[in-house]
Amino acid sequence: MPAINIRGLSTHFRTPRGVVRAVQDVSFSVGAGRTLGIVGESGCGKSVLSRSILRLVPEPPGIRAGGEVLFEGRDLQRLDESALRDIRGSAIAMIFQDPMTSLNPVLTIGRQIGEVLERHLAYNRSKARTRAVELLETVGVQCGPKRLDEYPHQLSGGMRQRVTIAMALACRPRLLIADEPTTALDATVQMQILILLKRLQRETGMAMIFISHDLGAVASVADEIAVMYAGRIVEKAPRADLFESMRMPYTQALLRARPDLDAPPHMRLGALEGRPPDLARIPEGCAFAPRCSHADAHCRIGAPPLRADGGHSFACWKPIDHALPAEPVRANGDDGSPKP
Amino acid sequence: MSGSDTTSRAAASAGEQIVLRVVDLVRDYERSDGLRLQAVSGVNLVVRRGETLGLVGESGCGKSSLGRAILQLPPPTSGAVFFEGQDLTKLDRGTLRRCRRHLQMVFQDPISSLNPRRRVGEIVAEPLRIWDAAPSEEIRRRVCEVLEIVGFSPEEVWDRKPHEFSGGQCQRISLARAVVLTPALLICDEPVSALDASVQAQILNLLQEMKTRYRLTMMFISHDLAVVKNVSDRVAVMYLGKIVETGPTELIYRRPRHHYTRALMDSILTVQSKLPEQEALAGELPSALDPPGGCRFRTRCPRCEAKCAQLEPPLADIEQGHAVACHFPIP
Repeated sequence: MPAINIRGLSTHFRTPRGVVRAVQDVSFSVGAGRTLGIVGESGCGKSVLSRSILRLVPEPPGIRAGGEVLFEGRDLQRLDESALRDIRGSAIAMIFQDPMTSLNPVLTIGRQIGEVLERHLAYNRSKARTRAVELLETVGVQCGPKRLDEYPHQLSGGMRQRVTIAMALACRPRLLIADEPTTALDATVQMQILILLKRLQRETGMAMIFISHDLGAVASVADEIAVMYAGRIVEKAPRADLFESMRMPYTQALLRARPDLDAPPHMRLGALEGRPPDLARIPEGCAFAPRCSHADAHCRIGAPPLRADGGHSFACWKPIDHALPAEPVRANGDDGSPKP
Repeated sequence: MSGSDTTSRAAASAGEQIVLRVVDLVRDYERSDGLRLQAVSGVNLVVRRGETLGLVGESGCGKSSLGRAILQLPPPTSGAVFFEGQDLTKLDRGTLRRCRRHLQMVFQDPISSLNPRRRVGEIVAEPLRIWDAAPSEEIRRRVCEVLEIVGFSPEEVWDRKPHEFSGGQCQRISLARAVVLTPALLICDEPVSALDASVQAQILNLLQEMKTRYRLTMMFISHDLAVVKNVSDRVAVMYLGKIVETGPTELIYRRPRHHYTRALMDSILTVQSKLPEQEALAGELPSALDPPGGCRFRTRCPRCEAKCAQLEPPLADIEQGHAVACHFPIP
């Protein structure tokens, strides 16, 4: 049984410019001990999706526009606020890009971890303090009780993220949602944090949803990867399968945009023309069609459904055919036109 | 005299012109609590005409402070910055100001580096109005030309303000403004770090086009090794205020000799790589308030020996044009 099962989830926003369809008809499930990576560029809806799971999107302007979030037999979309509060931070925990989002700047780190334990596990103060030291050691923050009395601003970015991981793990969550947890960190620290997350996952068997714009980071931790574009999942496959036989031209373009470390300097990059669509004005047909080198008239009429080919699903009328020789990405364009 | 300097002298005699030579540059900052922090600790480097030097390192290594000290924003605490043969640190204000037109900078945050109240046409024309007493039709012609090069239709964007543009588009405007005077040196400080991968690729391709078209000499500062490899002819790796390795890009990436450079390379995650069991580099950057004595990297170095704590390794040539500051470089 999956730890979490999401069916047709949609989250919209009512704005003066019209309804923004930030998340549209998203479905996936993640099993215990497994990691789903979600990758996409800014504005594709991946962060709104991660916040929609625990209903952290303020309503209004947010609208629950349909779908189910099934977790341990309950639909989180229909739960009342107090029941949700019991789940947040205990059965399902979340970490963010900026650790200061989840850390209170005027509380010592010992108090912050202690509060989680007192709130969800009814620990008393001294027991919470002892446990906080253990938790910090688990995430690689050494020197025990002295550290507990430090404030978040006294720590480096990497250390702060370790503290938020300690808080997230305090109640042994069954699901951890990590939203760009290493984006603000240096590469060497990013690697430390990812190794830590994977180790903790092995030890606790928790399921993980790992969200990032960085295909390399996602590929290094995920068992399965979903690519998001304009609010929808456009391709989803087991890790190896995705990179060996990607079907969506968008996934391929994302991959080709990054400089290749094995290529010599000054190689022209496979830049993608234009920009992702405005989520209040998603084009008809396939949302990627205006930027897609494979697109034809058909792509601009009907939105392609997400169809499955074994464990690999993709939403494309003209998927990449791996039986054919690879087609070059269209020559570099630009995003020269002003915002609408 | 450091190894890279010896190399650059040899290169200069071979007919390559040096645009920028930084000598023993130190940049201290006094913190609000009175403690002195040394962001840059004795850096020597050269940039030759037409080349791009990539300056790479993690946050807090001093790479941005170095870039700014070169532009005298603010001037270095000590050391010299020879730009086209003139030491910028010795110039009076007026002469320095006149030098500035030849030295331009592009910053990471494209939106806040543009004046929100000005229109795109004015923003890009401003350097010309300040420095060139050209007639306004001439200025307009040159601005239109550069706007087209960075991918805009001039009539369409002339009267728009920065907030009407995306991050990538603002970075194009910044680039247009920086090259409109055809500077002798362009310093780019993390110019694509705030952008999405697809937009990043557009800007990197554009930089390459502009480098060819304007024969730009560039210093490209970034934490992103893949990006640095794409744009640079030579690379300098910084750690805690010092350059630890420098050399031709391909050489450095194919065969890094400093243990820190190696750890940086091993930290890069690609879709082919699998997450290792052990991190490439443990621990955190020591405080610049109290850097380790001897080799600054020794506290995190897998190859550290007693000598490393006692003696600071100089940046010395390990082969032609490739210098490393390490007592026990990777063979």
